[in-house]
Amino acid sequence: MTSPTRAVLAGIGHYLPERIVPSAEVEAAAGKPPGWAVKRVGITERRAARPDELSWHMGASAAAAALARAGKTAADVDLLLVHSSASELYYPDVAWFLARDMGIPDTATVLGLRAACAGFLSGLKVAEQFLKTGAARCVLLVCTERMFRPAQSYERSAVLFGDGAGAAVLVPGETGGLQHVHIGQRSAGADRSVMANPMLHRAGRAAVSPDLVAEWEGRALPEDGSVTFWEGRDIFQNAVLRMGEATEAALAACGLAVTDIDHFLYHQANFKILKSLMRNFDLPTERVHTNIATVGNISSATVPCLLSEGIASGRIASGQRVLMAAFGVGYTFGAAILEV
Amino acid sequence: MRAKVVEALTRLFGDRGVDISTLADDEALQERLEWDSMDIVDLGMEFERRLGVTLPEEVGEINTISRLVSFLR
Repeated sequence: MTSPTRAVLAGIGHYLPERIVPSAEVEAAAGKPPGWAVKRVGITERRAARPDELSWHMGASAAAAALARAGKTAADVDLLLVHSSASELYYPDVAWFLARDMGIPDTATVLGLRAACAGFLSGLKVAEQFLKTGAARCVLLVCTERMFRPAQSYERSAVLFGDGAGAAVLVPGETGGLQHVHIGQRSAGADRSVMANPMLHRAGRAAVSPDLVAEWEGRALPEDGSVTFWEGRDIFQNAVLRMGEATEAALAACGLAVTDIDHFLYHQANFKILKSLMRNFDLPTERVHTNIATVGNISSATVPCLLSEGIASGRIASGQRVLMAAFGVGYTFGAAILEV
Repeated sequence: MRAKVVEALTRLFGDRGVDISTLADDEALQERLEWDSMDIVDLGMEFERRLGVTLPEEVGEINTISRLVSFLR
């Protein structure tokens, strides 16, 4: 009897732009006192892409690193999954620019995904299904986020976001790999955080919750026209509860306990969310990876960057178990257990 | 009950350079522990999870140890 096919991590990579933006540079513009970002959310600095460095350029750099570590080339890819929460384009999806620039074969399936900060987890779920059914043999999953630029137009969120990309190559295998991917959603939270782009102001106004409409009224639109609204308390509470829920679901599906996990990689939106999760699950600090201090919130690229950094540094070793979890606006959330 | 409140506050805010066990019952916690809106949400979740009580949204009005103890009773 053969073992069921699993999605095995063959390679992982990440890319961070060179430019470092200290929190002090953006706090004033965001109406925050000096030191606010470090003290309140744990962000010392973040990376910012050059004006000519677009989301698919960053994604291609991360993807090239992941393919190299997997011993693969773009020609081997038969499924390309690209996730970008706030791309520069309405259409086509950045996936096709990335496919073009990397030379992904015309025979490959190319998909653009949208699941906010939980995008990497959703991408893993899709990749797993393609690999298990034999519909794909080499999946390249890329999460690339240029969050700092649009966030600048919303004074309060400018401090929180940064730019970066992460990528993973997944292939079929019989041992190790993804043990389980749990995906969940709470659409009741859909109107709790909305970013409207210039073409869609009316839609944006219709989309936000009634108690946020007043905030919208009378506001001068920023130069690029993008406007963001969010209900911070609701997001904070749901981030803690839903990542906790996903963690428990993934552990239960695998018959594992917290003590069976070697490394915890949680989405990094706010250090207080991480602390709350660590407290709730009694997670030892040394097993929880963080990079929020130096990169801020890079949305869906956060978790693959953590994984890439952990493996590159040797902190995450072959054969170890990693639990990854993320939460994003929508609300969408997920958790996965991976044997590296 | 006071001990439980102090224990919960220490678990959440023990890293803020304030020895919570030495705070007076009527000291304003919001100022001493520099709470922001996220801290208050976190405090509410902690009380719900560990003590089984739901703090009112206007928790700022009960931001002393004595008021928290009274609320729990």
